[in-house]
Amino acid sequence: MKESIQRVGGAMSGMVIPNIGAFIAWGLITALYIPTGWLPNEDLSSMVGPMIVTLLPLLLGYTGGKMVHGHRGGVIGAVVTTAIIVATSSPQFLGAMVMGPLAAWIMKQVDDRVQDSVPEGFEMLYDNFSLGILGWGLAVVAYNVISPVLDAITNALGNGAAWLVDSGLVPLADIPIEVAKVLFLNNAVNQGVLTPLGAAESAEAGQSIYFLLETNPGPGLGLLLAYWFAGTGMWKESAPGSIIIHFFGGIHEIYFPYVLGHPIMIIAMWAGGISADLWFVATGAGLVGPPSPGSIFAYIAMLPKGGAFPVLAGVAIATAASAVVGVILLRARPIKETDAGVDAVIESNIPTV
Amino acid sequence: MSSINGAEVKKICLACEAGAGSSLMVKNGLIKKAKKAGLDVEIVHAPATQIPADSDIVVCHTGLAAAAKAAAPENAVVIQFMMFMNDPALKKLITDLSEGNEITST
Repeated sequence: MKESIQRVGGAMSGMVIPNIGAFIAWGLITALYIPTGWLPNEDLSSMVGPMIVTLLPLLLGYTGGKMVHGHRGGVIGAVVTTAIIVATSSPQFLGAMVMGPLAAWIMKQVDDRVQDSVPEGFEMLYDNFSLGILGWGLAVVAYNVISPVLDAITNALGNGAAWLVDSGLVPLADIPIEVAKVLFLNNAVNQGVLTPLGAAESAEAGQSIYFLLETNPGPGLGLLLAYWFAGTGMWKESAPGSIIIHFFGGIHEIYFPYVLGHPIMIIAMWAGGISADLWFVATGAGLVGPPSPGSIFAYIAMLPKGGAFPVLAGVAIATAASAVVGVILLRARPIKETDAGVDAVIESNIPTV
Repeated sequence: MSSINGAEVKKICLACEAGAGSSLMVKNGLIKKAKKAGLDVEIVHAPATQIPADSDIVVCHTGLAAAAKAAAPENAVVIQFMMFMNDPALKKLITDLSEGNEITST
């Protein structure tokens, strides 16, 4: 179960993560130059739309294709993604993540069957025109047949996501999110699902709460502070160094062992995550672009103008809640440290999946 | 169970889920340790699903071991660690490499 989620989520996040830099460039341009931004500039803000609607899905489609069939797969993935982009009205991250790999897979099937039998001297002719003709065909099919389906699915997902926010149920999403994170599904959840949802929402509304749900460095900081104050042995000693890497470097993986090694600490994570999410919903908090990695510096860089307090206060609330609950838990149920040290803790606590 | 003599190891791959964050961090830590020990070994990082086929040793967190084992080259030794800093498994790996000990999957 966990492996198959990791595989699908890994494929989705694998298309997004190498392109996060472009998302951040878009986020910075948006935060600065849109009419409500820090330095409104009509000329420069004309980049915002084309980047979110065209550039980012194209990059995902290219990367998704490349994962399946190298550069040729990437190229045909980008061609077919273009058809989806122009045929629909919403930013087509989902379409790119479906069509990029699919087009590349079809190209691969053709290449596998034909490439070996191409006569000497005709290789370049074959390479260029097989991709060109297949790209033409798939683009037309994608435009006419597939794009209405993807458009409907994207709208349904977007409406569902908006409904979750409006109905105030978003904080409940924290329960599975915190568990998925420490099982190393953090990228699958964030870059695979929440970042595309957030980018679509932010393109319309100027900011999105979906960027805050998985990336909030507060709960992890609170957990590590709790270990620093109330932990023992190696767990206590390693906490300050881990805090720097987690909170400032944004590498959340560093805190996962502190939960995996003492699973009851997931309650501290929920305490921080849910209370912060309640606050985010109540104050209408959001970020302009994806804060990746989930460092406090990335948070500050993606703040919308006038929206700094709700976001930063939410991080502080999460930190305080996780730290307090974490200390209580560590006092009530101290972590076992046997003579064998870490190894024994690992063996007794890591669930074998 | 795969095993390899520490003296024969040429390439070590650090694997994490995305191949972007934690594996890069652990890799840099391991490179520093290897340099200090005077080891001549190539150390790279990758997503757990895209481990280079010529890796002799794959290092990953216990939580990703199953995925890494499925994607690792057949003869590669898979070393698991628990803590991202100062894990005993990584210290032992450096010792085994410099002393030419037999290294087996964990």
